[in-house]
Amino acid sequence: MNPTRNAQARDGSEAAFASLVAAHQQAVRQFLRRLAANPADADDLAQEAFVTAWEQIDRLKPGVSFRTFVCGIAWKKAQNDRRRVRRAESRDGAWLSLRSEAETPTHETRLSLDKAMQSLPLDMRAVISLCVAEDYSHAEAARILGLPLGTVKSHSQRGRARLCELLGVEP
Amino acid sequence: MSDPLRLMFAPTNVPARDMAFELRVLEAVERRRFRKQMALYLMVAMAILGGSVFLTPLLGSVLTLPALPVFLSVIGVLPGLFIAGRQILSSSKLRRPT
Repeated sequence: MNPTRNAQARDGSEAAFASLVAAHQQAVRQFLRRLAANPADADDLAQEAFVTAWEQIDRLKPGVSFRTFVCGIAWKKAQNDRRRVRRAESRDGAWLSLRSEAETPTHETRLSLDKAMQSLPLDMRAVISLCVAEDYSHAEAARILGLPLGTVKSHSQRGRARLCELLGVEP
Repeated sequence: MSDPLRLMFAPTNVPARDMAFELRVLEAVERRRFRKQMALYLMVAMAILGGSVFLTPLLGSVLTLPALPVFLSVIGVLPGLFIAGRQILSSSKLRRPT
């Protein structure tokens, strides 16, 4: 955390904001790539998250790191994107139901990690992305996702168990 | 002790520095800033236009005064005199020996 740079960005310094983008783009994009359907969508969401962070930079509280702040925004963007995708899927569902059963793909016997992750609910996937795949603490994940600490811990435990079961890994 | 599940999460191929992405973000920020400023200028222009349209009938008696251009030219010169005065004062401060 760099409070000076955060304060400079809050005061409108473009150079400070550019250095914050450079320092945190990897974390935000990695987080979103584990939630979005494809890397291009994840990068679009990350870009939107940084632009919103720039607009709302005066809401960044002194004790909070920029990574937590921008990941919180990215999480909201990912949720909105998920809703948009669901609406599109339900729209397309009617058309897909008209197709014959033989055309629909068969279930794969072995689930890859990506597919196993996709089978988890979005909240749980976000917790696993932050706390298992990355090195975020439960408290920081709770702050980013706007969830109670207990919920994050239970999501982490259940998600881990579910993934281990799907992937055949010893917990 | 290593976590077998964590080991399965291969690091994504996002580089620590990605100039293309950073440039893309800063460009989007500039675009947003430009759009906001344009919206603000447009709002102020509309407010001035609306205000002048609203005030014209109320100030009708003043606006028809034959000597109005004289007053307006005098008033118009005042900001120029103010700025020139400030410039002269600041340059005299710079030239003053310490």
